[in-house]
Amino acid sequence: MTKNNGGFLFTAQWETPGSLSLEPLLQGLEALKKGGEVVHILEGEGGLSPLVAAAKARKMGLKPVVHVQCRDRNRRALFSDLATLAALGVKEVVISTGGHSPQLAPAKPVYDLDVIQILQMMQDMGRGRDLAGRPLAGSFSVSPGVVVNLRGEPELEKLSLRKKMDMGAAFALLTPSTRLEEIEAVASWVSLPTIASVKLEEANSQEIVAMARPLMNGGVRGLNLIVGSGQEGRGAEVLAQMRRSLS
Amino acid sequence: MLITTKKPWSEVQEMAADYQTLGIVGCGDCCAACQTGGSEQIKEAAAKLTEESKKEIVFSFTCEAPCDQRIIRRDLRRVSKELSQVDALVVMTCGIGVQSLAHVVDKPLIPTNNTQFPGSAARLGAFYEYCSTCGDCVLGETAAICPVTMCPKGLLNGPCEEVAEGMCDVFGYQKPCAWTDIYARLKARNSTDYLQKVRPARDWSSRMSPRQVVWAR
Repeated sequence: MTKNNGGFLFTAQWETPGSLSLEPLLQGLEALKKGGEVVHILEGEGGLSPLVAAAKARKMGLKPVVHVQCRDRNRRALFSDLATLAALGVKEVVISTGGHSPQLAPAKPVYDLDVIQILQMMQDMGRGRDLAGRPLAGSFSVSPGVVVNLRGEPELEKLSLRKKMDMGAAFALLTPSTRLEEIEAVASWVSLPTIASVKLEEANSQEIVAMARPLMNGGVRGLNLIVGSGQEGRGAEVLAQMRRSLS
Repeated sequence: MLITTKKPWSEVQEMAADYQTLGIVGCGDCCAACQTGGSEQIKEAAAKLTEESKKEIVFSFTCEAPCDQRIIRRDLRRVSKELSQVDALVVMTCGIGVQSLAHVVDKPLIPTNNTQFPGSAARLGAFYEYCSTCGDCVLGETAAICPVTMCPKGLLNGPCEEVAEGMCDVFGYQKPCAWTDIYARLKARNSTDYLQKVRPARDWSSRMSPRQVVWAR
């Protein structure tokens, strides 16, 4: 996991914009770049491909962490995405199930693989095997992160995380919260490098900036700021303020 | 049982538009329980077709199991003369009944029902889906709660990250998360070891439809 600021990692999380041109995507990445070098990229609803976003981000000097979700792709598409990300030089991904979208409810959900099964597929890719067990040219060294749900049944979350760790999970991203005690309670039992998340829209800038130090002191390894469309500039500014607050 | 619901009657009328003489076949089993093809519903359909659409109903009967080709063939033999007089059959069964009928009679078929799911009746008029007929049952490891069906994402290895206070995001947090329920039951039975089991990706080649089970002779 890439670290900065004395070991504490500040990242932005951003969904690709829905557009038929690359301009909004490039503008969004440019704006986020002012907040730091690591950006988590998810596919927005009807948004452009995170693969393209990752390629563009890399070209801009950013380090993309791409979120790969079970919801919309079968194993062939997931394999292709992960292989493409590896070929693009992406070093970290976050594997998650993906939530339900009421707006896109008529679309057929896929869920061919769950998180454990994607991690299993990544292990096979790391061993140089494709989906059918055939030899795979090149090397695959993409590190998978997984999501830990702050609102899940704690004992069940622990069991789930143990299983994901057994399948190679390398870091944990917590679901968003502005409540420090809630984050710290879960972070205390997560035995992986842990990144907390907060939604920019759910707190004012000062409140978010003020979370950085207690989280760092509480053993969390970073803070991931979830930035909505059109908030890229403000998001970058909050990230910069957080970084300054720890220096 | 297979749960069915009635098609909009206008759809049935449209399908029947080109035919004047009709026979009606109902189902005495699942569709009778769902009130979509029992004797009462046959009477109602016959009355509507006669009075509103001016059709002639030559015969009608309830088959005890129209999904069994042997039984529906036997029943049709009993009305073979009347069958020869009808332009089409109105079929008040599930989709399996309609297609079983199509295997034993060469007449246009007018289905009146939509087939929903294999379900359990909790009470009259309350039917619930518990099984997705996946062909690879894990109920013995999941405290008799099917994750393929009860988890709308069909996850085999535990809950997703969208659960909140034991409720599922797909239903707007109005229905329980299947994996939270599975955990609670397994915990009560000191069987949470099952949660550590890694279930590999499903082999969908064995689910390619149409499936069949044919005993070796």
